Amino acid sequence: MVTAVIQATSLAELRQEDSSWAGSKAVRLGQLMRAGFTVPAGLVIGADAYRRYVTSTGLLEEIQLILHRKKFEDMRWEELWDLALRVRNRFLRTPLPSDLQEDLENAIVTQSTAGPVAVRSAGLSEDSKTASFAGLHDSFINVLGIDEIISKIVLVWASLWSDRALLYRKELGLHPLQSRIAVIVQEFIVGTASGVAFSRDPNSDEDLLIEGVWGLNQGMVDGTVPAHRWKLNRRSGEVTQFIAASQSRALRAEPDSTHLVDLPSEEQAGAPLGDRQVDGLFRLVTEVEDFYRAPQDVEWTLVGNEFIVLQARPITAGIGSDAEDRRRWYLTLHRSVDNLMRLRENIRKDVLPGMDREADRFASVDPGGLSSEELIPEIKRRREARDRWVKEYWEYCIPFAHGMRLFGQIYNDQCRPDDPFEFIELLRNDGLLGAQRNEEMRQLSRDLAELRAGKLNQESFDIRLDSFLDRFGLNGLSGTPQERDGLLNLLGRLPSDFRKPEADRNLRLNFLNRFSGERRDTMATLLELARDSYSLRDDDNIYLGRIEAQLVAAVQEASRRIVEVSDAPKRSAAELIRRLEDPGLSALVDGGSAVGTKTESYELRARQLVGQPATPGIAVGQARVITDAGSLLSFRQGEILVCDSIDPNMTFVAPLAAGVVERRGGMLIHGAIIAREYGIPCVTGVPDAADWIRTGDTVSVDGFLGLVTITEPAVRNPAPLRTGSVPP
Amino acid sequence: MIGDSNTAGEIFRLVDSQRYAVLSTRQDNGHPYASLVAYRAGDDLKQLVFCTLRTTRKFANLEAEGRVALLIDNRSNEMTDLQQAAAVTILGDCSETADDERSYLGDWFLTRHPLLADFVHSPGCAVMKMDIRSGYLVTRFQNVVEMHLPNGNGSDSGDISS
Repeated sequence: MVTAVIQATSLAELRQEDSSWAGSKAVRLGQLMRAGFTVPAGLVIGADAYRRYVTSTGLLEEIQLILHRKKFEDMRWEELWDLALRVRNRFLRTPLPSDLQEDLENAIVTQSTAGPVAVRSAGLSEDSKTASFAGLHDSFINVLGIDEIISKIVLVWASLWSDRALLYRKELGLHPLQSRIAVIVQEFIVGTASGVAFSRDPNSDEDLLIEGVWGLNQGMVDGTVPAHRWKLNRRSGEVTQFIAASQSRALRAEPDSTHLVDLPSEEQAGAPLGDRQVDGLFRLVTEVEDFYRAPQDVEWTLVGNEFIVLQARPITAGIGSDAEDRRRWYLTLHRSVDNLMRLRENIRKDVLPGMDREADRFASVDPGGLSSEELIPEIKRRREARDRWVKEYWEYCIPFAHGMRLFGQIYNDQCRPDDPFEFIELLRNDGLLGAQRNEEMRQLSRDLAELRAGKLNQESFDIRLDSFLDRFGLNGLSGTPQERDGLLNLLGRLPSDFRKPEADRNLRLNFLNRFSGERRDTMATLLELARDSYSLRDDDNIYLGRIEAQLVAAVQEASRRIVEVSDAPKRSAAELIRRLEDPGLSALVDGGSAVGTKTESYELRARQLVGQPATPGIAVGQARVITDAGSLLSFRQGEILVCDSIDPNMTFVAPLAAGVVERRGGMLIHGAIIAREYGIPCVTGVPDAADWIRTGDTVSVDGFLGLVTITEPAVRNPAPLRTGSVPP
Repeated sequence: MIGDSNTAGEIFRLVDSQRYAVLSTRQDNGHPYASLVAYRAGDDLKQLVFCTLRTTRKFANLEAEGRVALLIDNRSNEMTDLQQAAAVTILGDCSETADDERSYLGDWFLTRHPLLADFVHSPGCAVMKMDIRSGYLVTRFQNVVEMHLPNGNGSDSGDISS
């Protein structure tokens, strides 16, 4: 069989018509070279190499299977991230066919320099006048050696399937299966200063904008290093504004990698460009604009007194548009280590203690002791506080969760495990508030046994129970006598030996031993950050749950009074909430159930539902569908926990469950993590799980394949789950 | 509830979009037997019609055992089928139409399959009616939802024979 040789050409030889396989970014670099601009030498490897890799290895079919487990439009961001990690891991673990490997080696050896290179993505036919993919695919700098270059080429290909690229394509209505990607392998230039210049300021037609940093510009692109800014008159080149950044560190090249280093004090005090250099850059950018007869966004670096053009692209008309805004937002989804460390600081010092104080403050006021005139403003205060903390939660806690994701990606790049979520094992931390709460529950369970055996008096037990509820609360429970009874029943059912298996400590060493010297220390720091990311991610929900519980307690008190005074049905609580302009709260009080209308035409039942395999294993048992905190207290050992999403406040029943089924998808959501810790078969991301499955149905949970099968519908409740009439 | 009309609608649209189905009957010795048939289904999916010669194996099988399964799918024989194709297995009871129904149902069937006019009008051709009891929709490879009809007697207003 004759195998076609891949398309690979030096940048200088590219013509406009080559953009169909080389991408416009590479073609433009070639045009600039021939026009006399200084551009690092290099070659482009055409998109056919990517295509050959994914088709000849069967990878494209595997991706299809991963991608279509769920409708793309129904996936949450966390699910897309999981999907992207699975796909990336397939790329990591799928070797290049030997003929393709040979073709790549030949092309690189023939046309690239012996020194370090940059391996950059070049998406095909996707950058348009209104949308840009800039920054959404991966690029790597300071790559040395043929094997390393080829492994980075594969990672650039994989980045076609990154979460941010998938999200952006989803936004633009592009399908990733039709997308292709070329790769530029280019001489790596170490500049003293680098940056981006816009020949026309996206926000002002009169200005030209320069952004620059000491060192490499990757630090500026990912937000780790703040940029100095110069605004110039587009016609005269006169500097009209200069905003100095406080840059204390710079990204520098080191053998085989890049590193953030402290800047010498004289560089910290000065700007990376002098007046003459700013003027030189102005002339360069204006020439590039003249060459293309359109405003340009030029990525540059400074070597000696010469500016090197790393990239030039037209300024998209879409700047300021929704699509551009979304692209920028997607780029922010990936936080740098520094940024994550700052978030951790904020969460530890301000957010969590603040939530704790707020919950304590509300807990010190008994809603039952307030007059009706005092109760309404108290509810408003609690609602406003809850909303305020939810906002903080989204601003700090959710982005910090990315620490786990960043670590997961690095772990997989290094260890290439069969299971792309093996790294979760390393995040386990028994110092978690949730772990402490579960330990206290075990103690309470033993106390209850002693109480029943007459070895402990009622008063002592009540004190311990109250202290437990004060400390941890249980989301959605406000401590009514019925709820306390339910909790006591649950405590009585807890098995004495529910303890998590020990974490596998070899994994940690196996990971860290892949690094040496300073890099090993960095990885240990990142692992610590990831563990904190996981731990705080759990704790923040518990703190927020306490505030929520205080709000519920006040609302329920108001509801009780309305019923007493007006003899109105319990539903009146929802009316009270509506008067407080927060209809969403009515669900907390009433459960907010909606029942479909039965007709005689047909009935629907789910037989088998597809989700994501979260914890391997197979379990069969009766389903317990959790709709509120009350139904959680009815949970019995050996049942299958079915819910919309497991709140960290609900995790105490996890050890009782034979299996877990969750509507909400994601491998790093609480339900999945807890199930994984206890080795309970778990399937997440099952659409409408709590609607299709009823309490009492016999359910099989296949955590290997991500399948939930209703093997036997509940006998005692044989009514059809869903009914309807023939659609028009 | 969300998803009701979507799921049912998927079944109706799938059945309506296809022209051919795989019919599964049972031989005398108990062995299953599969055949490809052209069909037309009623808008309410309570009944379905296909035609066969009385000399065929499937007709002999149907005379002995009217309970059948029918597979209708929209695969395109491409790699993407695994996740993108949908298939519905329909269970029901088959019988040959009586004289008074034959002409009406045969013509109704032919509006969907006009090229089969000679075949349907030939004296040896039986117009078969299937009362549908249930359907099992498989999407995305492994997602399975069951739809049950109260009975297959076709007595409602949507009945194709009325």
